[in-house]
Amino acid sequence: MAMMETVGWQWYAAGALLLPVLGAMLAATQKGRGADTFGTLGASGALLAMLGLLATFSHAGVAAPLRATWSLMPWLPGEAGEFGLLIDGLCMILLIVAVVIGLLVVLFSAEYLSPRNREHVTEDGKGRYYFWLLMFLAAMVGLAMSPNLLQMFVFWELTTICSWALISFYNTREANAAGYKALVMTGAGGVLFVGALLLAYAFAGDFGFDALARAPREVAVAGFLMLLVAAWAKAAQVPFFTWLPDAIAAPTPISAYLHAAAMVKAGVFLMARVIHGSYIAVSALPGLGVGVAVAALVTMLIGLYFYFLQDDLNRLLAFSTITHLGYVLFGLGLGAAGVWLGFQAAMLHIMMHGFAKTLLFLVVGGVAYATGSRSISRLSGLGARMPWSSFAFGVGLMAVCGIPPLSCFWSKVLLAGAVVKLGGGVAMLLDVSLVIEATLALFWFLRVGQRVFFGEPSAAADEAVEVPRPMAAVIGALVVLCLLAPLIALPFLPPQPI
Amino acid sequence: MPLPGGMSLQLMFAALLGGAVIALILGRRPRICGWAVTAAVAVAGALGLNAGATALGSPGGLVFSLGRVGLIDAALTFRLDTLGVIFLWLALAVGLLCTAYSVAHLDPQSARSSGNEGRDLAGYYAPLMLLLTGMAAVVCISDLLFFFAAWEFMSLPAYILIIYHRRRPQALRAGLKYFVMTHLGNFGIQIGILMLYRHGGSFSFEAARLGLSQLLASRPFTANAIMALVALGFMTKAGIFPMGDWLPDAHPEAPSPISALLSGVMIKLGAYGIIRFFLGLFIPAGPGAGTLVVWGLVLAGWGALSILLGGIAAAVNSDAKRLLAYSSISQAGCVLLSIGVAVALVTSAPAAAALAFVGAVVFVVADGLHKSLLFLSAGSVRHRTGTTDLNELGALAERMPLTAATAAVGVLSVAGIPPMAGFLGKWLILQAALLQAGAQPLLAAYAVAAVVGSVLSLAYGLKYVGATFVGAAPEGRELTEVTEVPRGMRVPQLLLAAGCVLVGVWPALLIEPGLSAWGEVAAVGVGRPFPQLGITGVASQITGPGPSAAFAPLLVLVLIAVACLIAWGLSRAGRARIRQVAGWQAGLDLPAHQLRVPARGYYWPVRRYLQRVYPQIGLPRIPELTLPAILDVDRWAFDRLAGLARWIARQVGRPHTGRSQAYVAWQVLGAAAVMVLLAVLSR
Repeated sequence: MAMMETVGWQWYAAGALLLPVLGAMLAATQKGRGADTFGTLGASGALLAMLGLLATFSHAGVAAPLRATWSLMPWLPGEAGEFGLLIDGLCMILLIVAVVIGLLVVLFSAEYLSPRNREHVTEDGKGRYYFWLLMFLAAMVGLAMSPNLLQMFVFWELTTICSWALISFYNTREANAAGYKALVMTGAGGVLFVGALLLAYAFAGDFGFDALARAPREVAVAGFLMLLVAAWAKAAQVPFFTWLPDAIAAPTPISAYLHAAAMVKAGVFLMARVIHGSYIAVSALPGLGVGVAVAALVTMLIGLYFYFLQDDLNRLLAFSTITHLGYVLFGLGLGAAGVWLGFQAAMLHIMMHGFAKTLLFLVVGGVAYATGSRSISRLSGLGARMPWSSFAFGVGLMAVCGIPPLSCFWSKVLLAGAVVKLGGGVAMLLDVSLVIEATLALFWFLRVGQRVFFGEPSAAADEAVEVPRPMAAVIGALVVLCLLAPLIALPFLPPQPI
Repeated sequence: MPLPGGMSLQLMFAALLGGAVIALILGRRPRICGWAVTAAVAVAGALGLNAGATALGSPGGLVFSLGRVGLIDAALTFRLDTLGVIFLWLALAVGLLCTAYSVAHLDPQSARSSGNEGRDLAGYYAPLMLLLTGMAAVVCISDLLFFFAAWEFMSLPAYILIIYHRRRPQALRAGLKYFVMTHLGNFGIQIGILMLYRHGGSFSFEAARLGLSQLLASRPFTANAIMALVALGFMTKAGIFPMGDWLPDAHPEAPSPISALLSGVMIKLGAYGIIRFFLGLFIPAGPGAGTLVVWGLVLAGWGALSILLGGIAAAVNSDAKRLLAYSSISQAGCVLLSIGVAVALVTSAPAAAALAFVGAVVFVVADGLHKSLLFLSAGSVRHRTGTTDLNELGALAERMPLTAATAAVGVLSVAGIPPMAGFLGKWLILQAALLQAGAQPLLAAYAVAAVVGSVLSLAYGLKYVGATFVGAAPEGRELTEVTEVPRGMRVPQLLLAAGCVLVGVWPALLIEPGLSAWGEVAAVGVGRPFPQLGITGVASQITGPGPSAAFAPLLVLVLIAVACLIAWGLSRAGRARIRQVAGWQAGLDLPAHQLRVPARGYYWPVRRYLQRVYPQIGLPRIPELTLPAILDVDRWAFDRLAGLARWIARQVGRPHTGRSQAYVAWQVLGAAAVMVLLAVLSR
């Protein structure tokens, strides 16, 4: 307790933001094990700082957000020039996801980027790798703690740059194209973000999350739609989803981070912030929330459709990510339509999906590490050679598909509950679509899982051996997190703003 | 000091989960692991027995809560009432016997062609324990959200166990089919529960009842739609045709103790769900009498359909486990039929409704016992002969006497021959249906269907026993080295057979709790349909309401025994000689195997004319898809856009040749153009 009073929560927040940056700087100068060390230290520092923050925050409770701002641009009037920290339930959820998964990905990478990796036999560029990864982590931390749209935008663009660098990490033609594509598509979304910022400043005078709500109605709608499109681009929603499946050209741990914790989650987090910040105004706009939900549903169904065409495991997971971000936006849309349970379900789903998807990506990374292949048609019978990985994949699969007691079950049930609460003919349609999506997704994932891990071992799988211990341990931690995630997230679900 | 009921229920779950942990630790040592896990189940069984006894002793059952989720107003509330106790004890008893049976059955030294060599049995026992945990949780939890969570959770270990033989593509397909079908059914339940939550405001059972009754008053269509979704969901799990079509694929692939547990207990929980939701929610919510009658007749009719189709499919099938699976579909139909009759009659003839409900409960227990028994016996046969194809078997009775005898008991019970358990259930159901047939003519038709189903069950039961245990072995297939299964497998079969007989000769054992369950669940007065439910105890005798027959199984049994004794005495007194002669084969001397009737020779008219009646439903094949070209936004939008941008850039870049002369020339030309422009403008 004494510690708590002497060390203010601002210091913890600053630590979570700056320690990974420091780690990034140091790791950039190193090679091999040195880079591993500094990378791990930076990410662990962020974790420790976050735990400190967590302890402070738990005392404050979800009803009393911590907030501190400093006027860094005094030439701007009022609150417009303020930067600072805002720690509330929303922030904590994204923070936990970004930092915990960030650390696990760093730990996994130490072994993944090695000459023993059959898919990419190299450990060159580790310094560069950790630099961008930790910067990515820091950017996500900053984004989570941003108290206004302007600061959020700064970190938003930072994540775009980091993802560009990491997707192109292998420097092949394909990887460079994918990185460039991600940069251009999400960057174009960022332009609309700027547009919304300008509208907010012009009509409300600052960049607060409720700024648009204070603007005239037409402006508010325009600004909200701009932010929505920006979020769509970032969160890989239809029609801007095509960069995400290409982004699997990145090293698999990066894909895991990109899909589960960072980048795409930034997009949905923006929407969550705006809906939470200007809830009264948003929920008063008729049809807006339901529109967001229906658009998300379209994304879910199109993403589902592409499941059936994939041969690359990572590509399949990428489309699953698109679908699940659709789930999150679906819930946020229901929240905006006045069913707050939907918003809470969406926030829950951010974390539930985060752990489950990381687990799946890392297992696939392990499979590629051991066999050199991620092709569904070339792999079968891996379970006999890699029992732990296949068990973990099964857990991840069940978690993503929403089988209790694993993570996504709880968020999906709440989501379905929110749909039912919405009521009316639209809800019926949404319900049926949800059922179709969930059943077909389960069917296909189960089929793929059975194919890859059960049956007679294929040539590619026959000489595989189980992943080395550090990777197996990270996977094990994620298995546990898939089970415990609901308990972690539940205290941070934000109550309905009044 | 007696353990409090709530505590012992929690400890029971702890013991089951502890069993899973033990399995994970000891998985590499099959025998030790098996017995340790069996011990864990035995401990759980004792605790469950204690909890159940407490629950039976306290009015309103055993109720306690382990915490709540304020966000959505759900609480982890346990409620164990009489109905729950019946199912819980059934699950624990069958679970214990199946676990014990597994030890020898999966022993790599004694199993023949089972593929268990060097396997880590953690992959078997741990999900088995989780399956038991899930089943126990389903019948103990009353909060609807957590009930649903337990329900969904139960599906998962069952799937893992069905695909136990992971290298067999058929097993994988069967598992997939099972999981997807039950999952689809679960969605109906999920949506139903969420709708009840929306209208009741809380996940508690009482709130749901209140919400449903309001809904029935204001929007009856929605209320009935909810019930329809829920019914479809539970019927999928219960194995009702056609949603239960996963059973015939899953059973031949699953290890036999798992088949026994799935058919004996898990699909019965589908019936449990229907009872809870229709009798516990729907009836007390107060729909009109007409609605209830329609619902009851629909459910009962569906049950009758399932009885007939399942029975026919079983009669024409030649694989032991597939045959038994179809039999499960048929018997599940019996349970659904009786529940439907109870729902239909609850307002007009409460006594007959109670009779039908008790019939359902008896049937659940009876089928739980005899179906597990038969699956275990099929497992024993496979264990020793390596096959379940009835065409390949024969004359095993002399080599496996106990298995044969217990299988015969099971078959008699399935067919509903007194004094076995199956008869008691059938008797009650038929009585309820026939007594009220005057008021509801459809019920008479259903009763006829039940009788036909009963004949079919005798047919396929005799086929199973006849083709496996009597007759002659097929030519070229030496079954002489076959011996009786080890004791660890014999004892569970024996106990299950004893259970079948016990329930049959001691009706009060199940009828009393069945009646009090009826009162508790449906919250209606126990219209005692058995005015003369004789002395509770061994000499029980039941007499139904109105003009009905009495049934005193023990008395009948004693009389039959006496008659047998007299016959034996007469034969002894007359010094009758018993001659052993060869069978007369029209004067020919044929070897035994040519005379044998293989399984495919049974009931050929049924096969010829009715085989197609049970449609075969395969997994859908994914068609070749052409839509990607349309849906691929890259191809028609973003790539085009990028192409356009590139084209513009190229056009802009064309003048930039890199030669300084060209730039100078451009500048000169530009300057000249500006001058001309200025000259023109300033004129």
